[in-house]
Amino acid sequence: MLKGFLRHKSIQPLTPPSPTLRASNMTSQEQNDWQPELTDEQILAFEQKIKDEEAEKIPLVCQKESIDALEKEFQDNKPFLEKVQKLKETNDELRKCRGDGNCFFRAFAFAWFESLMRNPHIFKAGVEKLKSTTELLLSGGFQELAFEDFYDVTLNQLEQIPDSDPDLLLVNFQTEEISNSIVMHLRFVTSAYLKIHSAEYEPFLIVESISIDQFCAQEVEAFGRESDHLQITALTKALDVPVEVLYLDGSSGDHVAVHEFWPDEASKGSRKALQLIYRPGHYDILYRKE
Amino acid sequence: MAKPLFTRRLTKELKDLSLNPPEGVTVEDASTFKSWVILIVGAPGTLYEGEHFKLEFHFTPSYPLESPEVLFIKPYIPIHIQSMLSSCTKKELPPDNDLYVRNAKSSPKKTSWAFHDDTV
Repeated sequence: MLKGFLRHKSIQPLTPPSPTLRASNMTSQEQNDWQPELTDEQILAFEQKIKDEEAEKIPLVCQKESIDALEKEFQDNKPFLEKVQKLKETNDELRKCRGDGNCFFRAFAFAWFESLMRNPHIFKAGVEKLKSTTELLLSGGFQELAFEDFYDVTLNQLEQIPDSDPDLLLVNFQTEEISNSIVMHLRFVTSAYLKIHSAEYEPFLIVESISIDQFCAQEVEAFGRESDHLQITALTKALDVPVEVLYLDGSSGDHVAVHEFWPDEASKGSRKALQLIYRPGHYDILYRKE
Repeated sequence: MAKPLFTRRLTKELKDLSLNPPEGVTVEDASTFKSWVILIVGAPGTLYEGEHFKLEFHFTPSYPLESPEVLFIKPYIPIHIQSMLSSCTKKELPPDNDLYVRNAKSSPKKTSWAFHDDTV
C-alpha cells in the first residue's frame, strides 16, 4: 500500500474536528462509500492545537518536584496510588517532561546529561560515546547533511556540562531548537543502531509485518512518535547508558514493575541506571532517595 | 546560535543540490528560504522521458522536523502517482481525477488521500 503520511498515535483517542471536504456532486453510491477522513492540514492544525495546549501546561522539561505530585495525580485511582505510595520508599522526586510524543527521548537525554554533570568521572566516556555516534550514523546509511546540525547542537550542549550548572542545563532543555535537536539526534542514533543490528531486532517486528527500515522511518525517526521497548533497548545499547523504566499500571498490588535495560549484563550492578517512570503513554524522570 | 537551524540546513542543501544534483534535477529559483522552484526532467526510459515538471517547495521554520509543502506549478500535467511507478506502461489518470481537480484545495496538505490500489 502506498503510504500517504504518518498519523500520530497520540491524537487518535481524542475527538477530531469534523471533516469538511465533501464533494457536492457525488452520486449516492459515492456518498455512501465516502470515508470521512481528515486532511493533512486538519491533522496538522489539530496536532498543533494539542501541542499548544500542552505547551501552555508545562515546559519541555520541568523543574524537579516531590513525588507527592504523583500521589495527588492518582488520588482517585487506587491501583496507581498504591504503587506510588510503595515507590515513595525508594524514590522521592520526579521531573516531568511535556507529553508531545518525544518524552522518552527528552527524558532520557536530560537524565543522561544530568548524570554526567553529577558524576564528572563518567563525563569523558559520555562525550566519547556521543562522538562515536557519527560513525554509527554513517554506517546506518544516514547522510551527514541530514544529521550534522542535530549532532553539532547535541555535542555542543554535552561539552558545556563541566562549565555549566543544573539551572542552565534545564533552560537549554526548555529551548525548543536545542531540545528538539537533541531529541532528533537520539532518534537517528536509535534508528541507525536498529538498522545495523536488524538481524537481531527484525524478529520482533514479524507480528506487525514491517521491516526494520519501515519501522525506523515510521516509529523512530518521525518526530513526535512515541517510544516502546525496541527504541529503549537500541538507544541504551548505542550510548552504553543503562536505564530502568518503572511501570505504573492498573494491575493489582502495590508492586511497581521495573523493566531494566542494561547495555550488557556484565556491567549490571557496577553503575547506576537512569530511572524513568512510565504510565500508559508517557515517560518522566524519576529520582532515587539520596 | 547565530543562524536558525532551518536556514543553515537549507543553505547546505542548496549547495549540495547545486554541486551534486540528482540526474534531471535543476534548481530554478531559491532566492529565499520560504520557497524554491525545482525543475525536474522526466528520466530516460520512463513514460515521462524528456518532459519538464516544475515543483514549488514551501518551507517553514520548523523544517526539517516538518515536511515542506510541494506543489506542481504551471504548466503542469496532473499525474497519477501509480503511473509513475516503473512497472507502469501507460499514462493514466485516476478514475476520480476530474472530481478531485474540481474540488482540490490550494495546498496538498489540505488533501485527504484515497488509495485506489492497496496492492502496490
